Formats: sequence, structure tokens, C-alpha cells
Amino acid sequence: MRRRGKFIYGLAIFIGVASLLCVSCNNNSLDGFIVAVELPVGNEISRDGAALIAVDPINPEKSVRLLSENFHGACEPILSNNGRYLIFSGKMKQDDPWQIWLRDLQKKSTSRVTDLSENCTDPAFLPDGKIVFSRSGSIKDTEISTLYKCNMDGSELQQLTFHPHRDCASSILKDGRILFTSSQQYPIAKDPVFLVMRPDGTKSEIFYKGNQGAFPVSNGTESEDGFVYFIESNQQNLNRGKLMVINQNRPLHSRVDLSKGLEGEFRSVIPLSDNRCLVSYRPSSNEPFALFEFDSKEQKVLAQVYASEGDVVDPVMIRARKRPRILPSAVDPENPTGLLMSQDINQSMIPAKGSASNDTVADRIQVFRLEGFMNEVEVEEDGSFYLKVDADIPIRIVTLNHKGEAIRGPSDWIWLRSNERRGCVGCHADPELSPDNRVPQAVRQSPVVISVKMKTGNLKEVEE
Amino acid sequence: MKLLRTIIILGLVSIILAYGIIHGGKKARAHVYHITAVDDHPLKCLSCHLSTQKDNFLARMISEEYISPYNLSLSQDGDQLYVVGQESNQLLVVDPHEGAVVKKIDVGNRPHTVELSRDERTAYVSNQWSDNIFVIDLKEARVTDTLSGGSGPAGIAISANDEYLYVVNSYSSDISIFDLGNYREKRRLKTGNNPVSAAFSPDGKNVYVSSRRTIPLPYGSPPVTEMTVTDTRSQRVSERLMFENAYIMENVTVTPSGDLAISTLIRPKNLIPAIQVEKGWMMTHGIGIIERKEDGKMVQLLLDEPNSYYADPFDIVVSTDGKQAYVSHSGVDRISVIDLAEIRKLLEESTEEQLQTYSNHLGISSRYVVARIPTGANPKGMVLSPDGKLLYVAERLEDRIAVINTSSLETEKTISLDGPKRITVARHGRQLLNNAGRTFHNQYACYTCHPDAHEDGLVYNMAGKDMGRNLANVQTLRDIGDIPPYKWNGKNQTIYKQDGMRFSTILTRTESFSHKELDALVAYIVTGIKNPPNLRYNPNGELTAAQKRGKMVFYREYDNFGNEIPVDNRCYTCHPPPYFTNMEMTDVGTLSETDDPMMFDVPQLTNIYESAPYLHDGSAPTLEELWTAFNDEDKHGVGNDMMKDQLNDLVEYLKSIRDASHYMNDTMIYNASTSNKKRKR
Repeated sequence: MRRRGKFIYGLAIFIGVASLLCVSCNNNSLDGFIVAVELPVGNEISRDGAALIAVDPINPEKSVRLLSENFHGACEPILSNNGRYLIFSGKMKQDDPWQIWLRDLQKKSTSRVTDLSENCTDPAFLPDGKIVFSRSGSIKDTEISTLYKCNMDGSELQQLTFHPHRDCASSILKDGRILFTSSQQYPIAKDPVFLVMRPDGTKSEIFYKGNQGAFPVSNGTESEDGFVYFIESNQQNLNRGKLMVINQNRPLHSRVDLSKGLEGEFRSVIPLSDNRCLVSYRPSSNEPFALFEFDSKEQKVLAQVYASEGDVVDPVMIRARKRPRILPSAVDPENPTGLLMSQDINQSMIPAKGSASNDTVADRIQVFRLEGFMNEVEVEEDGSFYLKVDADIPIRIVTLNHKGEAIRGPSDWIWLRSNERRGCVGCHADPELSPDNRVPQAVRQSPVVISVKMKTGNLKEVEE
Repeated sequence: MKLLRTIIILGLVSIILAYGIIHGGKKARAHVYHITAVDDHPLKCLSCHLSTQKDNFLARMISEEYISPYNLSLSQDGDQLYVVGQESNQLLVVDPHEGAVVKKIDVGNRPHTVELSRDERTAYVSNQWSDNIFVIDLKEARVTDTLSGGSGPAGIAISANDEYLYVVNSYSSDISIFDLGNYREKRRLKTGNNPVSAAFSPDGKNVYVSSRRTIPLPYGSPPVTEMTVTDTRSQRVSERLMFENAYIMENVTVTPSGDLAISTLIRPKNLIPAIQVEKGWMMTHGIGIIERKEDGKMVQLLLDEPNSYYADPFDIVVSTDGKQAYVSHSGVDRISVIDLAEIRKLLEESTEEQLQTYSNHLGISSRYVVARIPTGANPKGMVLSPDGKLLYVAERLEDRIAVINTSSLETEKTISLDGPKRITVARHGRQLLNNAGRTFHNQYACYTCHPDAHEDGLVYNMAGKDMGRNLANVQTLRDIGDIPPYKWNGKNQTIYKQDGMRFSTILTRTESFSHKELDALVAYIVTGIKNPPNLRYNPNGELTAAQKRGKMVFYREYDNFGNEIPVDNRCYTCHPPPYFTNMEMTDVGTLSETDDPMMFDVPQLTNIYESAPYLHDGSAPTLEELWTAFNDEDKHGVGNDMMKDQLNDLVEYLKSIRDASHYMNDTMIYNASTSNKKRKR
């Protein structure tokens, strides 16, 4: 009896210890850590040689762990909402293109997500667990980068943006949309702005544009209380500048310069809680960028969290957080077209171009694609138009008066996804204007077809 | 042997059980798939079958009697708060300092507003579903008199000298003026459509009456809602001010200085193809302002922001110094604090053209909205303390009052009204129906298009396949639990499917309801929505002579020439009691040019009198037009042989049709096929 009792007792202890071990094995041992990118000394621009490290903010000096062993370069880490997966851009060898990699923080394993011939960078997790990233390419001999999405294993690759822009630095807003920096590259290069769009590539629109030649140079990250933090600069090819915040509710007109009056520069920012941020900052150009806490209410740099010999940038807090909304998709690949409607092309905040006749009332539009002119369409008496366009083909629009003189435009590049239906108040109308409640005359009949793929009926077919 | 037998029996039982579980599981999955139209809804029998019980023992067991505070009034010394319990049919007297209910006085059915006499000895409570106003002696805490005027009494305003009581009648669309000396209705004045609120100007010269629904207009017009201004000296309507492109003006107030009359309102975008929600494409919310001076401006300003909307503004109160206004947003659980000095400045410096633009501008609110205060679920009526330091807010779906400090703009405390602590599944569903959190950027709640779980009287361009096609008249949610299918085209067989994934893809454009939320929403829609009594046309079931004649027309089988009316073209075939729908698809010859070819789900006729306009696309503004304008070929019942008085009688009968519960014993069983079936009356 005594022996049996001892045996049971020992078995119970063994089971208990084994359970504890199993539980702890399943735990993410980096909970509460900061993951960041350490750049080699003297390397401010290129990410070659960058390393992913994890640091315990409570005990930074003694807790540094290298997460990107065997990588020539690893950067741009982003954490999944459940806190388990880390995605980043990485390359094993110097000559490799950048690809997207996934690290399972529980299993401590790393796997490759993309295997493409082009550079793939700036990943972010979508709320449904897919990954969005930027893929370099070219169009009309101009370098661009385009947003794509795929599953965590790289399958089901889908293109999301279709304009000749450099799209990168994505993040996901709480409302489920993708926020990204975008700068037109063709036919002329323009400064980056923040655009926002749904995760299926529909409904892209302006989110933020800098003032007086300034533009975002980092991704924008939204805090729990609805403020988007980012870095802004007014110099091209610079990845540092001032710390900015905008209110997600009214992003175009709520800009606050948090670094006003502060010496030094910022490179990255992520919001924490209680008006605190974690920033990559250097007080002077003689010092490397390091991680600091920042009080956004007092607009003060607080204590240093971690520093290294080289720049430390792109911090991420390892903790689970509330998942953004999963937005439904109306994209239907079976339908190769989209529908575009404008209420009144004369509703615009852009001044009309000077014309010989001084007639600034537009009564028609010209539609252009990358290859050039497509077609001209007369609008209705109320200024409305209603078009059926090829999906995933970028177009631009110019408005003209009855004499054929250009009044406004060309517009920014627009694309519609398959089965997307989009409405505009005007042509470059105030983006904060909601539509008038009236039936646009143009929708009382079938849409005018503008297509290179379809016969256009009463419109001339565009020759390839 | 015994052991072997036991093993065999156990084995057989296990096999039977396993088969039952697997096979039963498959059947259950198929059943749930049919109901919900998704293949991953949890197989929880109770979540559907228990929480959708209506009137039986189980339903009584799981339901609760909530209070649902609606409007408030406060004594002049701030020591007594009077709260209308809309669902408990009570007037609650609350000590706001102690934070406790001190008295409960039973009032009529669905009370709406409470107003105190100037001497505070008497309270007047409008009972919207009893068609009367109770006069309550506050000292004795009992009803001493009953006033009767128009139908659906709602808002109340009392003259400064306690001489007259103005009562807004929401169903008969008029205002009763009662002489408080003899408690008789002295006069009745026509107002806008579905008026709900009344407010005296501080000088007592005018009463402003705000309305919810649009005035009758040519088909395809944007809504126009009337603010009726009465002259209190002549007791006549002095002005009918029209707010264009606006409706649901729930409450009106006048600033202490009298310079502005302000109402909450919604600016719908029902005529625009519903192809997106971004940038205020479906609904915007704000206030309407009337400058009370010669050539004063009348403007509308939004309270929304470009990426954040403040759905369903309900009440508005102005601080005693006239500098700030507070607006409760029932759809987003927020109070907006408005700087009225900025509003006045905006009015002064802006041209008419600019103000016209501002009425659609989502960024303009940053000029005058100074704060947004979070509240509990579904904030409704509000009242300020006499010193202006505290704002009391009825949190309707929390059964409590929030007390907000107007300096810190934070909730200091909440006062429980001693409602049930348990939130039932249906109550949760009601909270979801009233909350805009499940539409993109909180732009609108189900309640927005279905106020009081009814319909808003508008036709929407739902942009089915192409834009500009398949216009849809909003349908009521009352009684729909028992009458599938749903949508005018009958495509959704269950409420689960109606409010499921497709709903989020096409209408709300954000993440769909979770399974648990959908269960709750369905439970509320099926069990929690009550039909108001039809006191206006059929208060007690005894039909008038005209209604009886109309009933005979409704049930006739031969036309005026003695020809037999085909069975499938008789009124009662498609519209049999108790719900007056056979729940089938039909073609009554009402397809328009903008409709795709389709048949329509037969709508119910219960309380049809308050569901104008009619037909799937709202093209018939009144019931008469169904037969005078839209039935050339007698496809919607045989009507071309009718004399005008027969048609009038038929309409009177239709208007008398009330809640389905009155017709449960009066059913007619018909089949939609051409063969004549057994009929029982």
C-alpha cells in the first residue's frame, strides 16, 4: 500500500511538472518584449546587414536576442494581432531580392512567405490573417511598387493596387482598411501621400497629404484611441524627420507636429497606451537612432529604452491586441468590369485652368489609360457621368468644356476592381464633402462602356 | 455468458448512439444551414429555439420586463427627476442626489414625454399608445385626470402661465392645444408628418413642433420635413418651415435668449445609388438651425466627421447661458458638446452658398463640436440641472440615468432605475439593432431606417445590379418573425440570412454580426418588437359602417357585374389573416422601367395605415393609388369595376387592420394554386 501510494504521488508530480513544461513551451516567451531592427554602423539608408533583435524593455542590456540568424538582412517587422507571428522583409544573401518571411514566435521557427523574383517588402497582417506587402516592378520603364496580398504560406497571391505608383509602408487601421504611402511615378513623379483602401483593393482614396512640401516617410500606425502616428519629412530619399500625429476621424485637417520645438529627428513610431509612444529618435546627427519613450500629450522625449552602436529602428511591441474589422469583399472575378459614377464634374476644389474662351463649365470628360487616350464622353446636364470600365486598369480623367478645352485634370490614377462600384461627388471635389441627395441623371440609363476588352457599342473601340 | 450479453448490449447501444449522433448531427447541420445560409453557425438548438419563443411558458420564463427610460423632466430645485419608463409604462420619480428611485406611478401604454406644471404640483405624461395624456398629482402620486386629443400623443410643451398644454400627436400629425383650466381640447392644428416634439420660445410667443417624416412630395423627390411654428397668441400656425433633404427631427429646443431654434435631424442619401458607405454616402447626421429674426437664416450643419459618424441624434438641450448645446446620439452612445458661439459666428460670416455647402460638409463639425462624451447604451432624453452643472441622460437600453458633469464632461455616476440586472438575448439584440457599431464608421444603425422598428417612409436606391435600378421601399420590422421570406424580391428565407454575410457585403460594408450577435438580433426581431394598437381606425375591434362595407369588398368573390373573380386574384387569397400575407411571391403588374423582371413577396397589411408610401418602390403615396393609378389591368385584385365609394370603403377597411394577434381565430386557409380550397371564416 505504501509503495503504491508513493508511486501515485510520484506520478502526480511528474504529470504536474510535465504539464507545466508543456504549457510553458506553448507560451510565447517574448511576450512584452520589443522587437526592433539594428542597422550596421554607418548604414542609414540601405537595409543590408540589418538584424532583427528582441529586447526586454525592463532589462534591455542583458536580454538582447537575435531573431534573424542566418539572414544577410532582416527588417520591417510586423506582429500579428494574436501576438504569435512576426513577418518581416529579409534576404539570406546580399544578392537575393528581399522577400517576406514569417517567424512563429511560439515554435521559434522561420519560414518563407514569398518566393518572387522582385523585391517584396513592407509587410503587414490583414485582419483575416492574410499578408499584404509591397512588390517592386516597373511600368513604362519607370520603377514602381505595387501592393499584393497572399496567405501566410504565400499562396493565393493577388494584386491589390494597379496605378503607376510606389506603394509601400502598409499598416491596417482599426476600421479594417489598409493605410499606405503612395507616390505617383508615371508620367511624372509626385510626393508621397497616405492613401487608404479596403483589403480587396477597392475604394482607394486620399487619407492624408502633407503641407508645404512635407510628406510621410514612414508607415502610419493607429493608436487605440484613433490617432495615426507617422514620420514626415520634406526631403526626398530621406527616411527620417518630424514626428506627426493626425486624427483618424479627420485625417486631412488634424495634423499636429509633435516634435515642434524638439531637437533631433525621428525615424519610427508606434503608439503604446496612455498617450505614450515608442520612437526611434536621435537628439543630434552625431548620435545613432535609439529607442525612446515619448509622451504625445506633453510632447516630450522620455527615457531611453534601448540603444546600440548602429541605428535602432522599426520597433514592435510583442503583445496581442484587438483585431481590426474584417471588411467584406464585393470583388467578383467573374465580372471583368467596374462601375464609376460622378455626381457633378464641375464640383471641384481645384481651380479651373485658364481657357481661351473663359468658359469653365465642363460638359464632357476624356478618359486616358497608360497607353494614352481612350474615349470622350459627354456628361449629363447635371454634370454626372456613369461609366463601365475594365477592372484593374488604371485610368485618368480630364474634364473639358463644350469647345474641347481642358478645364481640370488629368486626375489622379483611378482603378476599379472586378465588380466594384464607386461614386464620387465631383472631380477632385473636397474629399470631406458628402454627396447631394439627388438621383444623378446619368444613372437613369445604362452606363457608357469604356473598355479595351469589350465592344463598346456606340463608342469607337480602342485599338490596341 | 452474462458478461458477453452485457458487452453485446453495450456495443449495440454504442453503435445506435454513434449513428444517432453522426446522422443527427448531419441533419442538424443541414437544418442550421438552411436557416442561417452559412455552414459554420454553431449547432446550439437553444440559442434559436429558446430565445425565439414568443408567448408561451418558456418565453415568460426567459424574458424580463425592462424599464427603458425615454424622456426626462427635472424639478426647478433639481431635487426630483421624473423619468418616463417607456416599456414599463411608468413614471419614475428619482432622487438624483441619493441616486435612487423613490416612487413609481403607473401610467398609460408606451409613455413618451413628461412635463411639469410651473408650480410643480402636476405632471403631464403623454401615452403614445393609449391616445391620451395623464394628469398626475405629484403629491399624491396618482393619476387624477385624463386628456384625450389626437392620436399618438408624444411631445408636450406647457405655457409659462400653466394656461395651455400643447400636445404633439405623432400618428394623426397634428397638435392639440388643451385649456388647462377645464382640461378640454381647445384647438387642433395640422403639423408636419409624424410630429414628435414641441418647444416653447422663451418669450412664450411661439411653439416649435418638429416632425420625423417627409411631407408628401412627387415621386423621386428628396425628403422635406416640416418644422411647424405656431403663434401662441392666436393659437394658429404662423409658419411652416421646410428642412430640405432632412428628416427624423426628433427633438427641438430654443436657446434661452431666443435667438435660435435648433432641432436634431438626419440627412439621408436615399436617392443616391447605395454603392458605398465611405464619405457619408448613406446617411449623415446633424442639427437644423433657425435664426429667429427678420430674414433669419435656416441652415443645417453636420455633427459627423469624415471617418466617424454620430448616428441617430435624438435630444438637444442648451445650457442656461446659451453658450453650449448637448446632443444625444442614440446610435453611437455619445453626447456631442457644441459651442453655440462658434455656430453663431459661422452663421454670421458665411454666405448662403457656403452654408449650403456646409450642410454636406463632414469636416465643418470640428469648428463647433468641442467634445464627445461616451455614455451607456442608447442615450435618449436629457435634462440639465438648474445650475447647469449636471446633465442627466436617459440610457434607455441600460435602464439607468447617467449623470454627466458639464465642467469635466465626464460621467460622474449612474443612477439605476431598478430594472432587471440580467440582459436577455432579445435585449442584447435590441441593443444591436439600435447601435450603429456594425456599419462602416458607425454611419447608421438598423434603427436609422427602421425607427421604432418600423420604417422611415423613404425609398432607397439600393443599386442592385446597376445603379439606378430596383428602388426599394423600406419595410417595417414589426411582426416579420412569422412571415418569411424577406426583401421585396423574397430572396432571403430567414432573418438570419437577411442580416448575415450578404447584408454586411451590400449594406453595412463592415464585419458581419458574429453568430452570437445574429442569434440575439433574430431573437429581438422575432419576440421583442410590438405593434402599436390601431387606436385611430380600430380602437376596439368594432368596425365602422364604412369599414364593414370595405371588408365585404375585400372578401368579395364576384365583381360588380356578377363575374366570378378568379381565386388567385381575390384580395384574401394573397392577403389572408392573421398577417394578411400568404408569404408567397406574386406579380401584381407593378414592375416599373427601372425594375429587373421579378415577382414580389406579398407584404403584410397589419397596421398598413401607417406605412405610406406603398408598393415595392413606394410609387403609391396613398392606398387609393394602388387601384386608381397602378392597377390598369386588374392584376392587383379586380378593382376597375369599383365605384369610388367602394374604393373608399375598401381603403377604410384596410386602414382598420391592426395587429395580427386580433385575427388568430379569424383565419382563412387558401392555397396559392388556382384550385378552390376549403375556406373557414
